Amino acid sequence: MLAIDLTSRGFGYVVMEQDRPIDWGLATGTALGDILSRLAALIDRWDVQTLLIEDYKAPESKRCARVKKDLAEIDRQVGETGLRVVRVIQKAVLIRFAALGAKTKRERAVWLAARFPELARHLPPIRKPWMSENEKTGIFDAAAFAVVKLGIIAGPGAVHGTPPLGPLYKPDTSPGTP
Amino acid sequence: MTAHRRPAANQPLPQYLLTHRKLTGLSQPEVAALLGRKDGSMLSRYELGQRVPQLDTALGLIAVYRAPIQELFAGRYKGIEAKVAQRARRLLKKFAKVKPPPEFTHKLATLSALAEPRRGKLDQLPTDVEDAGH
Repeated sequence: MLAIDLTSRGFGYVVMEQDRPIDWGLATGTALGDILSRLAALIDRWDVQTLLIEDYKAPESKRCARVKKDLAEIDRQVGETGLRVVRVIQKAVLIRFAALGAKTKRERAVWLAARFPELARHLPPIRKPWMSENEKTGIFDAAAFAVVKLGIIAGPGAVHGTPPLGPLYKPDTSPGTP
Repeated sequence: MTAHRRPAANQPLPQYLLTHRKLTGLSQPEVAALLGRKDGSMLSRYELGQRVPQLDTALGLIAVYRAPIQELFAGRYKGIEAKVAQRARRLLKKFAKVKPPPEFTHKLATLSALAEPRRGKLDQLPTDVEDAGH
């Protein structure tokens, strides 16, 4: 599964396998053609079956017209290739994370960095009022879509501790295991 | 187009070299330097699944990423393990035709264990994303 979040300079992305990221980062380029070609490269590299994007059709979506138009085009073009495109409502992300006490973007990013330590070094600096949003926030916004969609954090009342670190693929080497 | 494909929907990818490199924070040229290479172009081909490293390079990657070969080349390893299991079952069938002598007990136990591939975490990969509901 590939989750993306469009930013002012391109998009942040996270590729998830089971419940762990196997690729993450920022893709630069604001032109739709650049975005689509970077997406195609990621989809091809990781044999992605599902693309997660923000639900640009939701009435409460606060994204600007340019981003909504780009998301619509991504939805259409990627969908035409046969890939499944899933739209995630931003409000659902806010509600799910708020239930864990993470009400701001910063708090969500910190929660995600604790949940996925491999993302921790991409945590942007604390944003001051005069600062623009750091583009690395896009990585965490994309990760937030993925964890909500995968059900890694469920509805209010669920308790989710930070799981221990583990390898991506750990074959069972105990003797006698079938 | 790359050769980096899952053999089936719920199977791991052939390799996860890029993932492990990202975990270290090292760049391709830096890993290449650690492996004794001049530049990162060959590493790039390994990460894209276009080439398979030779043994010494694979061992070097294990040393750099501190991860076992079954993780770095998860899908490839699973494929080979499955073939070994298939061949072990064939050998067991041969022994089943005649009564084996007592000294073969250990050999048969080894073949029986090989005939059943080990289960890893990615054997439970979901085949579809379930709607978490929102």
